[in-house]
Amino acid sequence: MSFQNSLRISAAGMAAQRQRLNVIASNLANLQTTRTPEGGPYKRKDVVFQAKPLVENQDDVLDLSDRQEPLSVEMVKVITDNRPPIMKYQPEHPDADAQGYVAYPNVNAIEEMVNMMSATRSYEANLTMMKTTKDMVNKTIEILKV
Amino acid sequence: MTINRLFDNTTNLLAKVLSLRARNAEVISGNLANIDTPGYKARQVTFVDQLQEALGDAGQLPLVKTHHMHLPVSRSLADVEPLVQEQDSSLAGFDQNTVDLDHEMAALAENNLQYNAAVQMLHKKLSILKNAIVEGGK
Repeated sequence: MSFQNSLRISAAGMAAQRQRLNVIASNLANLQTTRTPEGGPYKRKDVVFQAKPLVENQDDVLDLSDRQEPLSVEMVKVITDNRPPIMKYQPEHPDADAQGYVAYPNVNAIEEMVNMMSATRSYEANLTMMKTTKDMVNKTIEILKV
Repeated sequence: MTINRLFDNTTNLLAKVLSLRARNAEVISGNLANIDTPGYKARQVTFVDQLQEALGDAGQLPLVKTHHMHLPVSRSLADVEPLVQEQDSSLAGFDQNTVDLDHEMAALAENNLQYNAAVQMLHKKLSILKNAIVEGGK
């Protein structure tokens, strides 16, 4: 049933963007975090999206050769950005190294803001698609009211 | 008289258009969901040319069967299948994703309008039919 598929795909798109927003929120919240359970400053996280067929029982999910079927999306993993930390000279800071430098997270606030706007726009696009699908279904039901 | 005569070719055409448009909506939602997926290629549904061909409206002469052994050549309405193709785009960014948000939103709006138009026509068609049935009994 194609409308159900449409709604499911849009919902998957919205869920993926929401997860991306969660990760961005975590990056922004930890902009100044110098201590983490694994030690050292917080490291920037990012998400990996993957196109996924709606039908789960296919042998190889990555085989996208059946190009007639629309693809859904899913977040497969959260990766850690291994760019070097930002060093600031703050000898009085308890986490300063021997030279007096503190390693701050490799998070760029502007970059995160841009990603946040991108995620919001993509979320809205999926939301519009969902509204349109609902509109189409409602219009179809109206045929019955002859 | 068979009941099928109640529903003429226009009704069948409108029903076909609705299912093709619904398919198109599905493909557009797939594109929008994958707007940030690296390497994803946008997909596009084409059926307008096939539909016109099935209606004998493509501006070319239809092939005529002059012998009973001839293979059927003209496409019928039921044979029209939406063709889903990957879209080439020079807009592919560094992640090789070819989904263009503006293009998809425009396609979505157009698809929605065309769908609503077909629904309206089907609605009118059925109310005319109902009118004929009800008024005929008076």
